[in-house]
Amino acid sequence: MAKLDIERIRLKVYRFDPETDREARIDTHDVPYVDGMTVLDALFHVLEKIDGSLAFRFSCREGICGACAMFINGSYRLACETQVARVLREGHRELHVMPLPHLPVIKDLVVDMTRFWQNYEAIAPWIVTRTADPEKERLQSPAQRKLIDEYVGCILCGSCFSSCPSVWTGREYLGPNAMMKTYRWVVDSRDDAAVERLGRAGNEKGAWRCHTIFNCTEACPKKINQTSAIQGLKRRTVAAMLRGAR
Amino acid sequence: MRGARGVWGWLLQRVTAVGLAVVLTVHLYVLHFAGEHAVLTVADVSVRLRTLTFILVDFGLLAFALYHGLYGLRSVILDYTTRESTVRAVTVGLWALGSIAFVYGALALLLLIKG
Repeated sequence: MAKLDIERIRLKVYRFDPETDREARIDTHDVPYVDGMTVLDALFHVLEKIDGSLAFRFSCREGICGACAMFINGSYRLACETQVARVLREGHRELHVMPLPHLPVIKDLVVDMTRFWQNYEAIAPWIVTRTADPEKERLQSPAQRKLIDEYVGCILCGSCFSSCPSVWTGREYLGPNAMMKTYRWVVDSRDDAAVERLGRAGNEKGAWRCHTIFNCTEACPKKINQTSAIQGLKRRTVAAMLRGAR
Repeated sequence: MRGARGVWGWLLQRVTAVGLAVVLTVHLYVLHFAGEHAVLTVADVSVRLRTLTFILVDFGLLAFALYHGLYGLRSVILDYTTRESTVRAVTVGLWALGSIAFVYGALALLLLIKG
């Protein structure tokens, strides 16, 4: 990426501590710009040099853990892999960093992901087998593996969950991530619990609540087509019912 | 399949969507492009409705549109609650509303068919 001819960038950060603040506020900081700087780097500058009370999540710093998903200049992005230069080249003159929308704020950029994790746990996101363990490993052909390629790339950042209107209104809705992961296991050739999984997601609190508006797909920093997975889940649920699966 | 609910309702919504695409196309074509009359009279419509094709198209349009629309309304309502008792009440209420509307629409069509 070509260099930016600037010395400082203006960073606007959402601040809110429910224990002490009555309202949220936006803090503005001028941060020295260096080439290759990411939004996470800019937040670290604020934390280390300006205001040590700023709270945000991070871990791997290389787009794998999903901890630093934030709403940056109107888009769901990972702070660690979002180059400041890229945001400015989109036409923005300053950085706006907000927590994931529609989730309760614990402090500043840290949101409460409890519901997200509960829903994820509810779909049993692990392999279930009915056969004896093989001597070495459960093999898959390249074609079988291809079916799950896209979905294993999910880093559980919660962007899809935060972006889904059915999640905003439906407290019991499984959400796009849990359903995409259900589909991921349903089509996994090594898993033997497809019917149970379809039963868990093929209901009013699951697949039928998806209105196919593609917010989740658009929000996903890893470009996973979750809507397509949910549609697959619907099709397979209907097919299982027509087959009389129990 | 344990836990699966609402499968047939959703499937029927998809089926009626395909049905709507077909009958709406026929309906719009007949209304705006086919025929020689610049202004249709009730008698024209009555004659047209006496053919089996148009009986199927118009009753199909009525049934498909009602089911598809009311299922969509149910989906919007259920976005706000999935409590069993509420879901049941909403479903029963919308079936009742749809049935009444279908009977009303069917009577109107029958009147036209009789001329």
